[in-house]
Amino acid sequence: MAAEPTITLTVARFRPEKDAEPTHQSYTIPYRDDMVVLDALNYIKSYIDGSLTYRWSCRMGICGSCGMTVNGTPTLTCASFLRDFYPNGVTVEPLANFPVIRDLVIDMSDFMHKLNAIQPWIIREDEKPLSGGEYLQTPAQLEEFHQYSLCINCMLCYAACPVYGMEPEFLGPAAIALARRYNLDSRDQGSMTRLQVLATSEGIWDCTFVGECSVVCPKHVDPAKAIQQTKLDTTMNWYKRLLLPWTRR
Amino acid sequence: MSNSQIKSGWIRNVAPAPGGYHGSDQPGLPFGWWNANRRYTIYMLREASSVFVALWALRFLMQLGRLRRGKEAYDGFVRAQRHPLWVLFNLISLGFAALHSVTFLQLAGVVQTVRLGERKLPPEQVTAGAFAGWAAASLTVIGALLFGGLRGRKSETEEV
Repeated sequence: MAAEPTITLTVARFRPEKDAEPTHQSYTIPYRDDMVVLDALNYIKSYIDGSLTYRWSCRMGICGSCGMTVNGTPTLTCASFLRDFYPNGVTVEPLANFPVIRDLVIDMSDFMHKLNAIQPWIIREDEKPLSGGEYLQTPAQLEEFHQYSLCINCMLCYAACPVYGMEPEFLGPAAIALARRYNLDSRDQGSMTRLQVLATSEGIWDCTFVGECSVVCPKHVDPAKAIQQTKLDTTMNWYKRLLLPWTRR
Repeated sequence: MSNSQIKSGWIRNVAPAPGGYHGSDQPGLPFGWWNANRRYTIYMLREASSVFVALWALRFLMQLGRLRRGKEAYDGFVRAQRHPLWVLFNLISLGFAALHSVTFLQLAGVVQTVRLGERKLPPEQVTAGAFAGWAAASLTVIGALLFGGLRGRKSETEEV
């Protein structure tokens, strides 16, 4: 009888109580071609080493929790099949550009702070009473921002962005894409408020259009497009206010 | 290239993680980070292209200065341009200028939304249009240079 196929995962470990810096640990596990990297991690945790620590939740590319670096590329581990690497091994590490709390778990507080800064909710100047009914929207108005509303906050784009790696003050791809999502929403009136954060040197102007954020995005949000379009819009608005000052609000 | 982010030094500090691994305290990526994948490398070449475009623009300003100083000064400049080092510099600059134009126009379709009435043009069509415009402009300039150059030669010969 043929031996059961196996695959080796090299996983980053960092246990702050005893490690000064991250190290690698290898695990060899049974291989099946329908397994994803997250399944492999769950196998390790269940049967080999219960101390391995990582985040996950939905297993279906919705929650954005299981983002890690797989063979050097930021990836959702629930959507990364072992068969794409087999018979070679797989290296699993935490997302780059973030501090590591333990093993594969990173500290996302910087991202949460930036997300909050762009106020990712509908801002109204004149809130109508509930009796006034819903704020209606046409399919064309929905189409304007729909792509940017697909972001699941998985932070793969931050891990792929060398600008964020070099300049941690950069607002970053997902936060800017979400700001654009609300700025383009016909129900929203908060674009001038968000502009205070967006149109700064740490905002859109820090981006030099590497474009890797859009490559790794698992939901095809295309944050690079959102950033460049915001640059174009703010520049056009600046010229418009300069040349047609009476249109200034 | 290493497929380990830890070995290549990308896992490092950005924000405080109490009791966690902060990596280097200095922001920045390890030297050679652009070799991590081909897209980063092309990005760096695109950024580097601006240096050669700027240097060539300086060379062009020099050329204009010589033109202002008269025929003899300008002829000297043209002769100097035949030196292999100048030829090499011009060729490298042309290569980088082409790379800059190609990458810029490829991105134009992504950034610029073009509408025809109610319909949004797909990015590929916008990019294709931009490339067509670039080709037309280049052909016009090449045509003007060749045609103008031939006419210039002809009038020079007539003068002689």
